[in-house]
Amino acid sequence: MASRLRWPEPPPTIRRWLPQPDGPITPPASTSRLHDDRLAARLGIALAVTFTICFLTGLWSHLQQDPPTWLAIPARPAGLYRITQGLHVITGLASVPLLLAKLWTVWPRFVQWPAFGTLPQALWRIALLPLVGGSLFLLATGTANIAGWYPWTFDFRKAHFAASWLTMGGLLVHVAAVAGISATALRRKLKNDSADDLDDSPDGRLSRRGFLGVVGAAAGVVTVTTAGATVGPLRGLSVLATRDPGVGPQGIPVNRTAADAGTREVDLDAFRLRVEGKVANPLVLTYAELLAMATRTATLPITCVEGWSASAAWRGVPLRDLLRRAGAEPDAEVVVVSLEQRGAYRTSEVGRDHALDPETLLATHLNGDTLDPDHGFPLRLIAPNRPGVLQTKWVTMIEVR
Amino acid sequence: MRPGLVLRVAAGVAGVALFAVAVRYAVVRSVDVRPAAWVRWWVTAAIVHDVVVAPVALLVGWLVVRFVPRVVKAPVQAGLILTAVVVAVSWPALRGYGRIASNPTYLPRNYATGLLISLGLVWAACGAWALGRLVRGRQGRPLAVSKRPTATGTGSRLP
Repeated sequence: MASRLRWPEPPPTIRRWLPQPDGPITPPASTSRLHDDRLAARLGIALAVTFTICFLTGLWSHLQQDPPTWLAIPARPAGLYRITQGLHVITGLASVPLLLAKLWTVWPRFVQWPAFGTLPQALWRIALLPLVGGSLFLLATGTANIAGWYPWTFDFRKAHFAASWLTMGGLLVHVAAVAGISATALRRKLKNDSADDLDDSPDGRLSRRGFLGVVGAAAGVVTVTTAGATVGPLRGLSVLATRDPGVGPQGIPVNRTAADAGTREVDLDAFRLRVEGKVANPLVLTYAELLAMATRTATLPITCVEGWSASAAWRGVPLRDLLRRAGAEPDAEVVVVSLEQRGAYRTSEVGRDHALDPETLLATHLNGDTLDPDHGFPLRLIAPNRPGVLQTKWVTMIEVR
Repeated sequence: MRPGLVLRVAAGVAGVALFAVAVRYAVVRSVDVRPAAWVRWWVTAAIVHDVVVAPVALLVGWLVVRFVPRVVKAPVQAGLILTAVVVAVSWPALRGYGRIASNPTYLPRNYATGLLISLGLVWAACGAWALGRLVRGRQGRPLAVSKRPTATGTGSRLP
């Protein structure tokens, strides 16, 4: 840009400590060789990749919970959600060292003076707050969420979702603003900075390559120590995972317990499953009748939105058999209702593809035993490719609309 | 317009569109998103980084560069970076903020032990690296093996 803004000149004593937008990234205030455009560009590319993975998998998860009318969520492959949500959390955690490293490499630019001179620099400055604030927000709230910690007043999922759009918006504007400087930095010949770039560093400090190696190692350590919540073989190594897929009643973790839901004691004599609404033949079934019908066994993962997942053998009544018996239309809208009196996930909608899938069960048994109250005794929904929060527990009614 | 510039303008416009989606969602779902708290959280996050995290990192970095012997400098830097990251990620679990008495499947492990094991391995690796450098230093060789020949002097900002 030809025209430049005029900025007030700070006193010379302060002036000499501030980096300039057009100069090298390193200000006199810092001698760190890690404050470097080329390093920043490389870390930026890595973050763009991990954030895009998190954004897409997060969007996918969000759409399952708030399905728009134009999108039919498929029931197959059964383990799809397990992979996408596992990837979401693993990639998000691995982004923590990448983001911190990136912020370190560009930090002097935050205090550069003039704050901006050209249009790309102005764009860069404007995008900085949503990008940096949003990134930190996403990683911090995500990390707290998987530990079951909610030190805020907003709804986690929706605030996290809104922040993801903010961050990705900031990322795109940022890319538009810094594409030139990054391309130049990435093309830069190594020869002028080889002592800084390569791992042979005469002054003993980390070289840029060494720093990238350490950041990669940090991402690796974070992954290995946490990914066992969903990656079975890593279970024994994941000493910092907030969940263990083998720990819980009947060897499966629980998010909402029967005690919390007020469904600890269910009177089986009084218990009925009702199939009603837009059906030709409403059903009222006792627990004994359901048990007699519960002949289908399916091995399906239960996958929490918090990223943990565990596979189990579920036995129960296929939902489609019940709908057929009740004479529901094949394209009817199906809502499963829990015995719970309160809670955001008291009911869940079962999409058409899931309602017709032979392995979408109203389960009575888990790994051969009667369901534990914490897993939804007497009856719970379990379906392929579905977030755990929608696998409604303590089911008492199927409402056809 | 050059193709690169077209792409950059497109990315900028798309970015602004994504901002609009974020703001619209926050407003439409204001009962859940609580826009005031939401904005306060991410603005605070950015300020905390700039005012607390970055200066602390600068200070620690300066202390290491100033006081740690040359031979073990890089391994110490690596160990501190890894420690900071692992502690940050495991902090909620370590403090047990999300622990609920009624649900022992949340935070089922002993995270203090887990953290000690993780950091023990990290520092053991860094120690081995430092030892390797020490031995190389004694033999009068460079501290690390470089895959490419290094040009010295020109453009270097070493103190």
